[in-house]
Amino acid sequence: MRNRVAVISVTSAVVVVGAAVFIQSRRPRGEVKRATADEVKGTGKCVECHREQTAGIVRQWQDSRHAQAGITCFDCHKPRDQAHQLEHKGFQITRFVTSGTCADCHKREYAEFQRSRHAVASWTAVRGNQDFTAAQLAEARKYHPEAIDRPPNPLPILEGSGALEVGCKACHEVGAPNYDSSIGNCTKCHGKHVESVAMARISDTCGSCHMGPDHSQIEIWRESRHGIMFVARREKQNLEYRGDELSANQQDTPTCSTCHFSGMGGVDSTHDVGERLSYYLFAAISEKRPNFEAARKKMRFMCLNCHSQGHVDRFYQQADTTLINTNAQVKKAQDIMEGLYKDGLLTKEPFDEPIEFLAFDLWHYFGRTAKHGAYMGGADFSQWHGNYELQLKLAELRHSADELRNARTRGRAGRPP
Amino acid sequence: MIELPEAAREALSGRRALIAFAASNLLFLLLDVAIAHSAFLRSRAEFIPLYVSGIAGPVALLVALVPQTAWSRGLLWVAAAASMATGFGGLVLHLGADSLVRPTLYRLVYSAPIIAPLSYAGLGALLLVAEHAKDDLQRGRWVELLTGLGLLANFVLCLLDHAQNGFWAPIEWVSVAAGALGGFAFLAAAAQREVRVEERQFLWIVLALMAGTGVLGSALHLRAVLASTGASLLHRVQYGAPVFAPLLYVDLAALGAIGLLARGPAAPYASRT
Repeated sequence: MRNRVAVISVTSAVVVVGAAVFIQSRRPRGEVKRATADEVKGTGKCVECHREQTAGIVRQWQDSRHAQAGITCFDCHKPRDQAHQLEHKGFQITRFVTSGTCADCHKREYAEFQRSRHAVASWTAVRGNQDFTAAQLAEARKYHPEAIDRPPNPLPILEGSGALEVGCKACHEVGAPNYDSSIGNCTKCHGKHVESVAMARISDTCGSCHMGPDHSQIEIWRESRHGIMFVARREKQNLEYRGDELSANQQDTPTCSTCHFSGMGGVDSTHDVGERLSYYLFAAISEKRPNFEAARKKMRFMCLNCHSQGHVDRFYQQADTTLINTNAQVKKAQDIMEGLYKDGLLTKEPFDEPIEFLAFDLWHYFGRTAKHGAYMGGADFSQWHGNYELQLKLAELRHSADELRNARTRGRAGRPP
Repeated sequence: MIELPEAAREALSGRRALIAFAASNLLFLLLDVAIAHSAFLRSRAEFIPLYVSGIAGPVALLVALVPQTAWSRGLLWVAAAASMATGFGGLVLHLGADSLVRPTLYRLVYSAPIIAPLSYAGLGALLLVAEHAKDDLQRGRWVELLTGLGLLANFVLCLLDHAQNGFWAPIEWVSVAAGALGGFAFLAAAAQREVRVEERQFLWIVLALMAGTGVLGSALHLRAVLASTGASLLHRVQYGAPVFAPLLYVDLAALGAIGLLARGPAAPYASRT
């Protein structure tokens, strides 16, 4: 062989390069796909690294309306003050995108949200008013005076800070204050990066907080005709359509957001979740909201997009009746408890005696469920998870109260003279 | 066919030339590593190659200039040992503890460039070869061996680096193929006591290909850096395609040329049985 070096090197090179080409061809598509020039321009270079490191958020952004509108990563991640900026690969960014950032473009939506109980009132329900400035509290009092000036909720204190962090905060921080003086977190409903109208429209998003025995709206909706019809006709619904001009042509079966937020049939869209609610259903004794007439009218208009006048009238009459009955049952329980406190059979400390938990469950779980079931078309929830349980707990409460009184009587009788 | 006068051949491929070559490489790595590590600087270990380059490079250069003594030999040994330790230590650190236990293709592709630190080991070995080779032939074969290993290392480096890109541009395969061809060619040459005229011609052609690959690669990397977006030019150089990396092919072509020159004239066809 005259040129052994050439034969050996060419043969070896062909083998190893061939093997490399073969391996390359078998690599996952996600690994070998590279950011296009348009993507790099669209994100301001971020996608070059984040396609590898956090591929999910890049894809979500690409599918979002923000991407279509030319909103780049920097538009939302630009620092809003010096204390919260981060030097990141040569760029000054912030990790904390607040509702204030969203409000730069979505002013009307932010203002509506600030009027809602999803804002300040949501956070004060857990942490009291300690985290807000005086100006923020003064503004919030205009809309929810009864829900602003309150102490921290005793239950998280009893359960420990861990319970607050992994439990209460996950939902209630939708109304937490931000470092830039804004309040709330739009991404709770619209998602981060995906910034989706559709995500906010599906009931599962609302249901991530409005679920369980104390506010079982998602379970009730699933049981209702609305929920069943939505599941059956899901693929026919245009969940991406503009929320301020929705009609049955785009969405013929409602999710939570359709009735509570969307603009339809002459009713303007809103980000104030209470704008169409006529009663404080979450309260132990439900009373009319200050905007009762206007709210009832708006929600009835929403119903009339799909239902007849007679149907809506009957529905509200039945639901209001359930509410009055539930209030009466809860009032009985409250009277029993007040009597026990008055007679010194219970301490003033909250949640230090079993009967206090019983009394709390009675309205917090079962009273609410009876009412929510009635106003959301959840028959089984209103009856068996609501009214029936309400009666059972009332009976248990009476029995426990009697035992406490009898115990005191026996104690007095057995006391030495 | 390139055949230089003996004096020129000695000047270009002798002990001093090799030591100067290694020293200049160590000094250049100071700049290269400073750019590569400036993006992270997460641990003190990232400064080690900077210290080694900054000290061993000038020391080796000094040794190349002064007459050969026990002192100069000792200094060269220290420089070579430090350089080799940096190379192998860097390899381990770049791999990361996890990768050593459970290496996967993904981890290899997306880890720090695992082969890059071995350039220090190669330069350390080159210093020792320069100092201890018995004659021209031995020096030439050792240098060819190091050239072959260097080119194969460059093959792996290009393969993994361009795999991060997903071989987005097909031209990225050119450097991979060049590394494999050049690497095996010089390993094959080093394995033979004598190389024939045809083989020598082939090796010179390979060296020209290596040099061309390096220049082309640097130009393409520079174009990519200038065309990319970024906060500043410095940022683009830090995070963009490494502009200097392809020049390693030019560097190894020069080393291969030294090896071929050191080996001396080609053997005639009839000299091999």
